[in-house]
Amino acid sequence: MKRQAITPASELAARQDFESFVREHWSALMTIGVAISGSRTEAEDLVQTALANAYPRWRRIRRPEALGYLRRSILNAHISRWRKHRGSELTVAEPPEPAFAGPVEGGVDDRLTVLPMLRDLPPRQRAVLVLRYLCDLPDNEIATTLGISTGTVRSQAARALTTLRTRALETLPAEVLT
Amino acid sequence: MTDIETLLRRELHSQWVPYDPSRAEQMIDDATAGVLLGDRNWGAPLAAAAVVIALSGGAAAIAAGHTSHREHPGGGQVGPSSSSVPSPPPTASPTRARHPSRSVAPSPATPPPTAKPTAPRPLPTKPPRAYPSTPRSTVSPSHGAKYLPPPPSRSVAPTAYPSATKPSPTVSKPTPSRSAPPSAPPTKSH
Repeated sequence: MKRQAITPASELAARQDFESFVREHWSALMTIGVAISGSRTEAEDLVQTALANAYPRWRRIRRPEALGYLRRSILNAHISRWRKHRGSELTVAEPPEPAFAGPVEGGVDDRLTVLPMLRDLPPRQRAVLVLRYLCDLPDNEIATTLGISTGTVRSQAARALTTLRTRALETLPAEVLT
Repeated sequence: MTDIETLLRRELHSQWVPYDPSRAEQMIDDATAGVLLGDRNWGAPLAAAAVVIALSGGAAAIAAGHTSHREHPGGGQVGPSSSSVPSPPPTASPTRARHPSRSVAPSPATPPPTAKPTAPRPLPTKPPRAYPSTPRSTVSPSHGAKYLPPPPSRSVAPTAYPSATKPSPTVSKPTPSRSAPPSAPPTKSH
């Protein structure tokens, strides 16, 4: 197979392409990181890891697939980090602040209660819900992103929603759910 | 009632992180500079994998060499037993040579073989007391050496069978021959 020669010009072009792509999608990537990890600091680490892994192979990543590649990289980094630190607590000076502290349409209470429940879910179920309800991806794209089957996506989502419903009925104030 | 999916969607979208140019540029610089172990990540795992493959391959080759050595020589199950099989022949050959000599006078050839084989022969099948019942065929070599003198009477016995149709007298013959060994001892060196 013929390999593309790496010249300073192509190197520069790839770097410019990478920079423009990251500027364009930085907010989306950071939002995924915050939604999946629950912390802005950890989200920055996840996105930074994904970008550093993606840049060396940027020439081989096709542009339409780049966003999916970075999403998957963030989610995989989170899952592997969760496995590594499972059972151990990270001590921080201050509790992680919410990414957005302003009022939310529909009330503040539910925002403060549903997301902690989401973070109590297993990482795979959390990833499915984030991709479905934050990125608005269809099930087949979620399956491609996570490397699982569509049936698994549906079953994981249904299980996660059942868990969330059960917990919401126990903890959320009645006026939020009515 | 607000569905949990609606709540979730609304809350997740509320987490939107606004663009932070300085932070974004810093992350881009770090990523392009390879701060995060971009290349280094591959070195250690590849080296470790190579070492593991080399070690396991060597161990497998050694193991394969051992097993093939065992299987090949005989073609079948020829491990330690095959080595023990060839070894008996040298010890057995003198005794076999002795059997033909049994009919003949054993005087010249017997002395050297008798000294050796008597010890290795374990007499596996034969209890020595069984002699009276089956005198001819099951005679063990070592005892055969003892009973060398009687052979003339033995060779006579089978010929007598058809006529007499009584095996018992022939059976009883060896027993007298047991008393004969005292005459044989000259051949017995031990």
